[in-house]
Amino acid sequence: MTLQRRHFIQTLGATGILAAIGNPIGLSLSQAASGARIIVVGGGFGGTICAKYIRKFSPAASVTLIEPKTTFFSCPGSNSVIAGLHPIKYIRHSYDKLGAEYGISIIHDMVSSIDGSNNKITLKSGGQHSYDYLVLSPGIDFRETAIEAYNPEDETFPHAWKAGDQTRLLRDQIRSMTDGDTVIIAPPARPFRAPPAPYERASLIAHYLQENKPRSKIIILDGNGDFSKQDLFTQGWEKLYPGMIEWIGIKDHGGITAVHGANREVMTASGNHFTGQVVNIIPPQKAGLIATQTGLADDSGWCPVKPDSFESTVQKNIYVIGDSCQAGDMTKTGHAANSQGKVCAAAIVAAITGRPIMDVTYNMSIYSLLSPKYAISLSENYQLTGGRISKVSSDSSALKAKKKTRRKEAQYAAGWYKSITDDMFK
Amino acid sequence: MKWTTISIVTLVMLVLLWSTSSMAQNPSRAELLASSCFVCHGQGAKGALKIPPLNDLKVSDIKESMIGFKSGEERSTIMGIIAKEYSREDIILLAEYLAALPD
Ligand SMILES: Cc1cc2nc3c(=O)[nH]c(=O)nc-3n(C[C@H](O)[C@H](O)[C@H](O)COP(=O)(O)OP(=O)(O)OC[C@H]3O[C@@H](n4cnc5c(N)ncnc54)[C@H](O)[C@@H]3O)c2cc1C
Ligand code: HEC
Repeated sequence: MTLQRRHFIQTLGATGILAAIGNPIGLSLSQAASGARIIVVGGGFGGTICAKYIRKFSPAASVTLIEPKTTFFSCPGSNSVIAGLHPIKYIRHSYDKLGAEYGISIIHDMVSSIDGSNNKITLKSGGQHSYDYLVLSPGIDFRETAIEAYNPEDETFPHAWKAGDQTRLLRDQIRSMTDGDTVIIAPPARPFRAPPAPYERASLIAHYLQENKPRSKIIILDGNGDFSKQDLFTQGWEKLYPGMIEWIGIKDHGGITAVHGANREVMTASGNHFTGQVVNIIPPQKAGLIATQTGLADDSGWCPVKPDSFESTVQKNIYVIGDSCQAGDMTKTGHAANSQGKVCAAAIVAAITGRPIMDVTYNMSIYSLLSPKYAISLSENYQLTGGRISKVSSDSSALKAKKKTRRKEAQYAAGWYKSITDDMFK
Repeated sequence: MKWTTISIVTLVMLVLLWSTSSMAQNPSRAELLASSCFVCHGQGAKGALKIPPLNDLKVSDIKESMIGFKSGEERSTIMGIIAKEYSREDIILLAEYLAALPD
């Protein structure tokens, strides 16, 4: 009999047997999960949430979060910092509470490689760690561009598409402009992180210029033929900053072909030259380097995942969330990464305890500020249909809304920012 | 002897398997659904700046508001679309969970 039982236990695995025999000796399922080692890579919008909610859903699970930076600078809110509406500390957050209050082990280091067949990661400092479940939320990296003489690291053309030093750099360049100077903002072809954010940036820079350098202008050299919430942005620009923002779609310039650093010049396929005292090129993007380097991305540059759990379709026990994953119709935003982090946390706890994965509706809402007292929003719902995450409904602020409503939405945007960052760090 | 023990083990396993299926899942559906509200309504749904708290509302208030947002009867800037895809059952789960959160 002992033999048979041992065999049975071996076949099912320790957590499986606990799930199977229920709770005869007072062990909770979360205690059963205590054996499971979970490593989360990347302490941004997806990673912090997944780590924290695994601990909330399964308090005995061992969770390690690996993130090189000791303080996090968020991209949401960074356009306000660039426009001088908030000091940089508005977007700076500490990891202390995640460690102290949620019992997450935090390692400030970079994951340099992943051995998916042996469930091991190696850190830049040389250490190795084993995992049962690995979650990657490494954000984005930049693609090679066809733009001659351009390099995203070149401080002449700050991208400010990862927050921190780049945010300060762009802010300081805007500050040192003289009245009458031009700002060029060049968004890449979609998909990219936060599709409305280039236009929020243009709006808030316009707000700063209107107050400080009213003869200055902004040119948007878009890599697309249209853009997110275009009617609402255009309406707002006409009201708030008439004549200040000029949008040029891809058809009318043909794409940026080269830059000239010495005189901050941008050349386009249409043969035009644009000169700006500030040139903000937002490079095309792909999944975070660690994900592509591990072979988790496909030809699109993003990582395919199972739509109910975010487990990679390439490598078992590795989950990819946030900007790096291909989540069907989901827009790449911090709010989407937050929803994915929670669903992935629940799916991992379900896997550990041998339970089915829950099927839920996801929401992604993104506010864009056009001025400190004028905001618009876009909200999308997604559900699992036909094996993919599909957008089932969406809406944005009404075109006819009154000034009072735009002002209310600006207050809600500030509330959203406080709540989502508290969700991550408090 | 061998066969009897095997069948007893099997029987015990079957009974226990059946009993676990009635055990609560972690997280509960209500907890997972409600976690998506915290992104705007704050930790523990205590509210954030001008976004109202939910933890101080009654179950019936949350339920009525959600049904009103969904139908468009209750005016809103964003809750109309957020409430749209929730089934009646999920609205009840949400209302009960959120109203029970500590003040
Ligand atoms: C200007 C701007 C404005 C935006 N505004 C909004 C907004 O208003 N609302 C909204 O919802 N979204 C907004 N976004 C989008 C949002 O910032 C991203 O969608 C979100 O950050 C994605 O989360 P993530 O977890 O995938 O990546 P991130 O939040 O970028 O986190 C990735 C983390 O992984 C770490 N990392 C990377 N590689 C490794 C490695 N090898 N080892 C260890 N750690 C690693 C990085 O250091 C980083 O901290 C905005 C973006 C921009 C650029
Ligand atoms: C994107 C931000 C956002 C998210 C996510 C969100 N809410 Fe709201 N909620 C608001 C705002 C803003 C209001 C004020 C009404 C309006 O203008 O939409 C509000 C109002 C409410 C109210 C009315 C409160 C009162 O005192 O009248 C209820 C109830 C509510 N929300 C429930 C929920 C539930 C339940 C969820 C999660 C399923 C949720 N909300 C998710 C932003 C959000």
